[in-house]
Amino acid sequence: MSRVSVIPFGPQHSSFLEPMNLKLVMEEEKVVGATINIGYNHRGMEYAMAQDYKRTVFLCERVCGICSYHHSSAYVQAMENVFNVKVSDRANLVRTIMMECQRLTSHLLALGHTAEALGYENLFMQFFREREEIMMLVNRVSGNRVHYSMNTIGGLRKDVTYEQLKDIEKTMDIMEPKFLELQKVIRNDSTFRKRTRGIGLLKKADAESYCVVGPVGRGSGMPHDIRLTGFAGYGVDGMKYRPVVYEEGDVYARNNVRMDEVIQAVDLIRQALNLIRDGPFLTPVKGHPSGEGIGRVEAPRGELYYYIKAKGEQKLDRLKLRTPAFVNIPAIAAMIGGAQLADVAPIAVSVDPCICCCDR
Amino acid sequence: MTDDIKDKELKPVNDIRFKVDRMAFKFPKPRLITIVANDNADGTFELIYAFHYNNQYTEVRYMVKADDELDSLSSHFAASVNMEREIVDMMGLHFKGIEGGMLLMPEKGIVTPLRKPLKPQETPAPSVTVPAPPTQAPLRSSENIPEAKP
Repeated sequence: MSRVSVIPFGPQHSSFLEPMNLKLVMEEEKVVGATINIGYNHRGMEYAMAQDYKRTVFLCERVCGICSYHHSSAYVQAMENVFNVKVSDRANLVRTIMMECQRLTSHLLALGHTAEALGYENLFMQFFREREEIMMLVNRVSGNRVHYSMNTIGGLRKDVTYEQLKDIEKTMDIMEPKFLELQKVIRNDSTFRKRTRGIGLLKKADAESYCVVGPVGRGSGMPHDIRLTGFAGYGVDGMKYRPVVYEEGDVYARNNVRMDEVIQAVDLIRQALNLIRDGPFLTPVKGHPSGEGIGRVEAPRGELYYYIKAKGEQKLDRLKLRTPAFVNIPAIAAMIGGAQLADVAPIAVSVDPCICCCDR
Repeated sequence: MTDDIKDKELKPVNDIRFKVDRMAFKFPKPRLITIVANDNADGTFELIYAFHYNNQYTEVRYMVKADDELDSLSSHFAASVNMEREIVDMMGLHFKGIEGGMLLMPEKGIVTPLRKPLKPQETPAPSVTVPAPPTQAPLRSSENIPEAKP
């Protein structure tokens, strides 16, 4: 009978960008069980964000640095629900463009991170080089690289100019061939395929039980995508979208979903640029909010959910946010059973774990 | 906001489990988005089970008391374990077989940070008619005060 041992994996580990702990139960080199511990980065954001609904527009971006614009979009969407305000098509389409730009940066980071976990240092640098171009583009449009601070309740804080929209279009034309070149490595490189195919399997039944979202769910055959509900600019006439779904449920499938969504994001940005017209970019709101509202957006890691209960004053009665990482990270326990110790890092990274989001 | 089942009255916990079970056994299987707990500041809590079902948003709501022992949804959804652990940490509610200590250190530091202080109880109006107080003598004013005799 083989000896069973418990190995701690993290919270400080070279393959994790943030603190998370996996307690791996090992039979020699094989993982037979895992316990996931989070909470190393808890900051009490739900409490802080309920203190002043106006300042929360900026505070909610600080929950996470990789999907900050999605956080502010979900929050303002929930507040617009409470105020019962209709946002103009121009503001919605600009939000869509910026959300897709942020999806590009996030997916390129996740793919680069996976490449690094598999030992592809050069590929990691190539992904980050392309990501840098998108971050510089966002900097030129919004004035910030990470926290865009473009949203406000009722629309945008400032309008985008014609030159900025042309800049986005031109950058997408330059970047698309580069993304297609990187796609070949993810799909066809023999070592990459051997290290990722059939590894970290998440069956559809497990995916449904863990209620996973985003590329993790779509990599296991769950076609859930909040963009289909038509929030923000995705519901404007003329926008066409179909979710990318793979059935395999392994690390390879999850990476392919992300790679396909990178190409798809370029297409969605072009569609939104074609549909954007002159018009108002802000619908002002008056008074303090009162009532309940929800905001749901498709962040790069999956569905992001905001619930707000306001009582007619500056302080909110309750603010609840459920981030995609909060449901995706526990699913690592289902993927990891039977894997080799060397595969634990690629499996955990394939979920794109964001501990800032998860702990809040 | 679409509300499938909305129940804002205080009900026995068994009734609640029945309603959530009815949602969990639907086909295709709904996706549990999250569980929201709202403190009403009067010893009761509102629980909102948010589901994504047939590409639509659906809720199951109910009210519970602070000391109720609630059924866990973990037999249907593995995802509910962390959601319930978070509620145990933040609100101090009790779920069967679920322990806290996920986000906060147990028995160290802050406890149930999202609970609100209880509202002051309003004193009920007395049912028995209280007899009117006896008429008091008029207040002494400078006119009524007899002058002191030398």
